[in-house]
Amino acid sequence: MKKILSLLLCAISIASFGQTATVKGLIKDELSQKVLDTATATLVGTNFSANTNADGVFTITGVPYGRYTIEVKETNHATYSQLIDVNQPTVVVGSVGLKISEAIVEREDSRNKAQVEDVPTVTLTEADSKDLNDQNIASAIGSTADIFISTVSFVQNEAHFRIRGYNQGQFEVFMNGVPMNDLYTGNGLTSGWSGLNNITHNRDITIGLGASDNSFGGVGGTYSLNTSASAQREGLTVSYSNANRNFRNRLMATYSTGVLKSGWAVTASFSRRWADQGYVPGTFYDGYSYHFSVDKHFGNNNVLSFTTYGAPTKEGLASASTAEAYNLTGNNYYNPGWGYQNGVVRNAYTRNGFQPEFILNDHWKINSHSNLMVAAGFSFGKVERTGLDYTNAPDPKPDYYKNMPSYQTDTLQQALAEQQWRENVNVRQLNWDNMYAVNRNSYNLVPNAQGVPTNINESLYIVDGRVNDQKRFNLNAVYNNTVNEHISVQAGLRYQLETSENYEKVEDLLGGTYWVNVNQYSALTYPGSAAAAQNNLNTPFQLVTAGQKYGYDFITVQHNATGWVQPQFHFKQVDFFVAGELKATSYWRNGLYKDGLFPDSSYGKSPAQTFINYAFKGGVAYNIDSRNKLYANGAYYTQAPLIGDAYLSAETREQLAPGLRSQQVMSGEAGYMYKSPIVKLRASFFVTQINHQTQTTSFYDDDLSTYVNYTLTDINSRRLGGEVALDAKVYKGFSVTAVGTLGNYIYTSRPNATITDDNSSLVLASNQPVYEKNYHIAGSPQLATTLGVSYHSPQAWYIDLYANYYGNNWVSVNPARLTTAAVSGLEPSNPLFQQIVAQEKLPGAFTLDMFAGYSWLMNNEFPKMKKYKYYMVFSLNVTNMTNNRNFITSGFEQLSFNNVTKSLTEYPNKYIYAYGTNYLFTVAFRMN
Amino acid sequence: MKKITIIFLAAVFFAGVSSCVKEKFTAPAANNADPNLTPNTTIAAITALYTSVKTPIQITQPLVLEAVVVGDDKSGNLYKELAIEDSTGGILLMINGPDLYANYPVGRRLFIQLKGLYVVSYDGSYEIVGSVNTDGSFTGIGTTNLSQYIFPGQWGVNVAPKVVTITQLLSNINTYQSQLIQLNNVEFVAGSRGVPYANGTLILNGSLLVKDCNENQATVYTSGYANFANSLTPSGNGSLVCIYGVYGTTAQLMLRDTTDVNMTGPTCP
Repeated sequence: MKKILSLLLCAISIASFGQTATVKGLIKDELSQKVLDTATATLVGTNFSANTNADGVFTITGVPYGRYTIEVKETNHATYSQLIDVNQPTVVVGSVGLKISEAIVEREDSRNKAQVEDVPTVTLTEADSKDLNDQNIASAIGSTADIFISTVSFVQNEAHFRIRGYNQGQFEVFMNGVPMNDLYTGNGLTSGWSGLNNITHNRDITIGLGASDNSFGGVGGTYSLNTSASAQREGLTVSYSNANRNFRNRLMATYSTGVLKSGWAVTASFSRRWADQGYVPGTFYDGYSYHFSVDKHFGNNNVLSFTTYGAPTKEGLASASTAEAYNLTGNNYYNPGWGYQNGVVRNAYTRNGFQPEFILNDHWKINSHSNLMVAAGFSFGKVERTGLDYTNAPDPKPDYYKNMPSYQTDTLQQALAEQQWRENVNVRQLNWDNMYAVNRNSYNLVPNAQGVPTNINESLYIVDGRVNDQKRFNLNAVYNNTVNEHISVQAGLRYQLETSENYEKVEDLLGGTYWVNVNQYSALTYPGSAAAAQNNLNTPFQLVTAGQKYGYDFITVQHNATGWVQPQFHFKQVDFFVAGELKATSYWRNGLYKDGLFPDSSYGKSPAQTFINYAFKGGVAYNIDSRNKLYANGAYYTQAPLIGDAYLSAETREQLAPGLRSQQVMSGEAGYMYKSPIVKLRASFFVTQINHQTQTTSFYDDDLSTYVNYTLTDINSRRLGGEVALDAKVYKGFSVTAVGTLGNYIYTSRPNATITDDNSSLVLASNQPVYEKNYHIAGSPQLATTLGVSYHSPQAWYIDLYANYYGNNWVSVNPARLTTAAVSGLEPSNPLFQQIVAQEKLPGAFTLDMFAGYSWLMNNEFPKMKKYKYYMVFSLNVTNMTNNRNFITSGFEQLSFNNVTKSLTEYPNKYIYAYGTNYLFTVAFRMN
Repeated sequence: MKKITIIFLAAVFFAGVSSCVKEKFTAPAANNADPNLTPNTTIAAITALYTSVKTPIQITQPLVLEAVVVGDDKSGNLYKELAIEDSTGGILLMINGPDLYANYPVGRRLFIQLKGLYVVSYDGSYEIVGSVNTDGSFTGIGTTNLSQYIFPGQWGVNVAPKVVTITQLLSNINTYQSQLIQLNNVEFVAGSRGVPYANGTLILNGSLLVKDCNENQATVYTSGYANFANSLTPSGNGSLVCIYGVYGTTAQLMLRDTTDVNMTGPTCP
């Protein structure tokens, strides 16, 4: 204090000379080297002060000559101060790197769950709903400086809220420069680094259509991670977490060397997550993750980096069920997918995956104003989802509609069935012991290699696995040139190759000796035709055992080449950019089975489908002053249809969706931003129109006794909405946040359905209009609001409370119910007509969440420790504190509908509930 | 300080070591025993209960019936029903679900707790059903409720068909109801040889005639859903094993499968 006082006096005395100067500086985050546009620089003891602009530069004018202490403050960073001599017209403080403040580090650490499994989510089985099945990008993003994105990913993810109603494929994901979108589904492969929270805090996120330095970007935005060793803080972190979510326990350990004098940097991270039973009965979790990265700096201008990571994980899944089953069991987390085997809980539906990734990456600083990043990635591995398969045997699923009390017509039988459901666990859950008994006593005549019928012990029930075995190779180069203070240019080239083999295999014969590789459904349609029944004519009536393939087996191959360029222009008040992208896509199917129904179109390589696509975007930002900013961006894309949607039934044949073509995406957004040291506000509007989308779904149809493939073409949809995010520092450590989205996401066309089934070579329907215009897009609440209060104590603890309301959420519709066939013979005035076509709106829900943490700097208690700083960090997150167990996050109409009986009780809607009160408690030891 | 760190790291290490998630399952032991139930009635006795009133009768006593499955739905010729038999006779057991043969195949012994079930006659054919609907129709036992009524026992009990003649069948059409019978030295009549048992493509049921060499005839009835519907009838003479059924005053022979037919000998002169 004395010092400052004396300096102050000194400054005042010198000020009398009367000359003035301009003091400038550039403020960056020390680790990420990203500019900070929310910092404030103050000359201590004077009224001279300035905020940084969008480029991180502050400018204080009219400063009298003299010696000052300049202090730079930013909410999330430790205060920086330095002595400066103001003795010339312009004084440049240079590039000031702010360290993230310790309290904030801990908050970030505890909240930095860039991981889907930290946020309570229900993992659906694949058959449930394609609309709801892809992961939500928000759950993978984690914490950022942007209050909107942070809130969406930490808090609103509990409601499966999706940013602007987008699915994951609308976001481009990059890991250390390598594109990470699976070309088959479009989804970002974020599960590869799940569990590796310690090393994924360094990321670059663009939401919407703004310019990204890393890529052209998807219509949703760009999510780019940097986990290279140089980007990690030096030190050791070991933590243990306890939770009642998908996992119960988690261990994480990370050690990073920082950049050593020799130019090397190494980081290694390991994580283990497990639960014998997760929040939902019958689920389990058994996951490992690792990450290893080594960097070598060659002088100051070149960094070569090698990274490898992976997450071998096996988990038992939760299956959605019906209102009747939830009511009967009195449990909204009832899971029909498990049962007792020998007294032990066994879940039939599991996911088991391991796809290790290897990345080589080079950052070359060509000169002071340009750099080149080149990254190559290779990954391979399988993801297997298991389930039950059965042939000519009763459906073993306890909540199959014929196994429900509501199927009983007699009141006594119905009452008895209800009693059975409540009291008999073997009725309510899977009955494994019975499946074993059936299989052991099941004999069937199957032709042997000579065609002679032979009696074999054939399993009627098996656990099957649907395997996706991928190899992905990616090459990506991004060049960045800051031509002058007004112009910078980014450009990139990318090549992607992905081969994906998909097949079914026998996982467990459940006591039987063989499974017969025939299509039981076509055997029913073509009685007596041995050829038509064959899944593979090359191996007719093949007897398969555990581990062997059956059912279907095909490979898809896809090549992509992309080039993009993006000039950006910066002026005093106006920034603008334009960008263009050109992409060539080619893919084909290579069948490994010669299907008995499609002998001429199933085996071997199909003709390649080639698409040339382009995209443009541009944006302008107008800086009214240093605090107020207006911006607007627009984009137009054409996008090749995903290979997973291109074929009517890729599992059986190469027949394409009719009129297969690229989809069109048009999007615009405009917003206002206000930024002062006290208040940050962003309000924006967006509209996105997607036209000519193609989508293929397969599901088991009980009435047809077969798998049905439903391809919709010319799906148009519009997502329109507004977002507001406000963050205000109210008093000392208190701040208030308010975040909300109100959207209207609807279909805007009547797509055409092409329906085929897997037991005949016929097309069941083509060009059948689906009257889904103005129906709501499901999968996310279209109203999501959060009000938060937080207190950050100078004593290194904090607490955040969030109150949330979610609404405007609809179940996903079954297109088959929106056809003339579904309502034929019914007058629109008939209540049944209305019930068939109505889209159910889910009730709104209120939740309360809390995040709290404390960081104990142990050096204070143990003064002998000098070399490092040692911390014990405690954090607790409690979600849904009011234990709202009636909060339906998503629902869907089952994809079967009987046009004749028009029964709505056969295939009632299924629902997924948000977890009740759930927590994650972490203790971490940190040394750095 | 060191202590705290060491204790923490040791706890973490211990947690890691004990983090095994067991996902290996042992197969349940094979079991081929009868349940611990003592039968106290017979098929003849419960059929008599019906014939005494001639209207659907609900069993209100704790009756336990022991019987063996002689006809199942594996081929699809029987549907939502099983033919069961004891030493006193045969009856149809109606269950409201498909693929009953998986749990109750031919040769499985069943112990049926009849209390709550009905004994009815459907066009002359005696049946055990789960419920009698308001419109007078019958519904089989709901699949969810099977474990309340049916206690399955041994698998693979030997089931020998009763060898009878067409004349014996026709003398009293109820004698062999729902029993497994064998006719020897019979053949399809001239118009019924080498033709499909039924039409499995259009799902049309088939009625074909067999005869003995004395020109006594009986109807072989085949469902269009039977997986052998499109198979061709043999042209020779020989034996035929089937479930004997009654439809009104008509005798019906229901094949379980084409392996029940062994007619390769020379036809009647």
